[in-house]
Amino acid sequence: MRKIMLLTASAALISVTPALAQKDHGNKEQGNKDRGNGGKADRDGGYGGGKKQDRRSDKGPDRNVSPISFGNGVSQKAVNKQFERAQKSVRDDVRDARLDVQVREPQIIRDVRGGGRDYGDHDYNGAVRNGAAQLYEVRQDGRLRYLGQRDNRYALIQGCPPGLAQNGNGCLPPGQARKIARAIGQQNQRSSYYDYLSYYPRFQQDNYAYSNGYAYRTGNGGGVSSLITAFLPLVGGALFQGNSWPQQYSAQPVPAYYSNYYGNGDNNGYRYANNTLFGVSPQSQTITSIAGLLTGNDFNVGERIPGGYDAYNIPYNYRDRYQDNGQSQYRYSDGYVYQVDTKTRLIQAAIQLLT
Amino acid sequence: MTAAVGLAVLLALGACEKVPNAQDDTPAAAADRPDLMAALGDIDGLSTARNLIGQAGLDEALSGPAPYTMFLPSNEALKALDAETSARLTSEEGRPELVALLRYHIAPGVITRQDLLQAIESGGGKVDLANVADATLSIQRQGERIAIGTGDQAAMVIGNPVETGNGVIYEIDRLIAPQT
Repeated sequence: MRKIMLLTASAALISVTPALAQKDHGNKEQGNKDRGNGGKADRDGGYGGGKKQDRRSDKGPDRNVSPISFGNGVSQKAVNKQFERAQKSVRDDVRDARLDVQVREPQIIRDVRGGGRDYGDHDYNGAVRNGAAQLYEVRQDGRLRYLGQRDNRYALIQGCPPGLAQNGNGCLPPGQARKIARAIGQQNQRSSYYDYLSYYPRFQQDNYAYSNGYAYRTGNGGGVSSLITAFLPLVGGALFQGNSWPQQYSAQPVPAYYSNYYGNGDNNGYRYANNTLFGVSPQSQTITSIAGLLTGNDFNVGERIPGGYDAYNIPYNYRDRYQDNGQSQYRYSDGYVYQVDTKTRLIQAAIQLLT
Repeated sequence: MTAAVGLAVLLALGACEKVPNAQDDTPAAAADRPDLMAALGDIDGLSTARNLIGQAGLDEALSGPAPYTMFLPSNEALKALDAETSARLTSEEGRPELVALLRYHIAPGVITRQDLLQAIESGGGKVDLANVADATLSIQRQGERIAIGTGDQAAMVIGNPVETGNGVIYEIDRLIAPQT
């Protein structure tokens, strides 16, 4: 039976975070049962980040911490040396423990806070302070709600890009400094007519340079000497087949409906970032495909339909069922058909296309 | 020429230029056609665009069940790109920009020629289409042709679109210029 969901505009939102997802598997399964494959996303979920923590935890017992001894015939120099070695070993252990806590901290915070609209360690718009970024919310009806993608902080990972040195409040990448500086320079100089990347709304309001599959946000006017303050994995760059899913992004698969609709119902895990649905191997965390291109347009029942949907665009299979008429129009977007009041242009219903 | 007469002319032109997959099929039959990528393989004038889609890693998305309407630059249009831009777009370093470029040319859903013309008619000569690049495409009539964008930078639709199982392919004579 096809599902037609009449929703109130004030529908509460369910926040999705990796920690909550792990904790609330049972509840999610309940919520998804009526959509058929509710269990699939859950089976694939909860694997992100865990391996690294385990690896760090395993380091402890392997490390050799020699006891300090003052046995006969041992010089003070040798004792001091032994003491220094032990000190260094302890320091390393403390550092590892601190790293472990840093990685786990966001999860711990979310677990304590419980459910609801919890942004945990993120800005309201999804920018990452530490831990995994929240790139979307899931509405009560299972649809994705895309968080402030036009905000130039959305999905940004604060701090130094992988492998680049920290320098004060930003990064001046030693090995790649010239390359990125050159990219910034070209960005400022060349005509952007064909530079489609820079025409994304978010990139028009900030200083970005593109290099090595990332967009780097720079401070101080974006000049060559600017420090990198944050970075964003780009679709087709860091977010591309064969690359690892960024640890800073949520490892939680999208709701089963999206996996089934865009992914032919296979058992792969599907993740969302930057208006794109990616196939990601649950085992290796490697991106296997770009499975879907989404608009990210926000359709709220009870509100006006977003701009850009004046033309009838229903998929062939559903044209017989959803024909425009005097009272209602039907428009497709991101896996759903929306029923819209012809006169007021208010969205009346969101309709799932899969049974 | 009134808008109504203009629409009639456009529809008549479409009817004259019969293509193998013209809009004679029922919607259900149309869904059984080859998908966007398979159909693209049979369009000689869009072979460069097809290669670029493959290079951008978008072929799986476009051959899946989700519907898209693509406005793809012809081989000649892409050949006209300057050497530096071409080299950049086809390099690994330039792939994010290539993805962004292609996304700018793709709209969600199935928009047939008839759908487009009716929307233009209803919109008083123009209609905006959302694309999958977080922007909108301004489609309008310029004389008897369909233009995407405005003024000298507008890309013109060439011939009739090809309707596929999961979408529609329009061939255009140049890249769509992003609107600032």
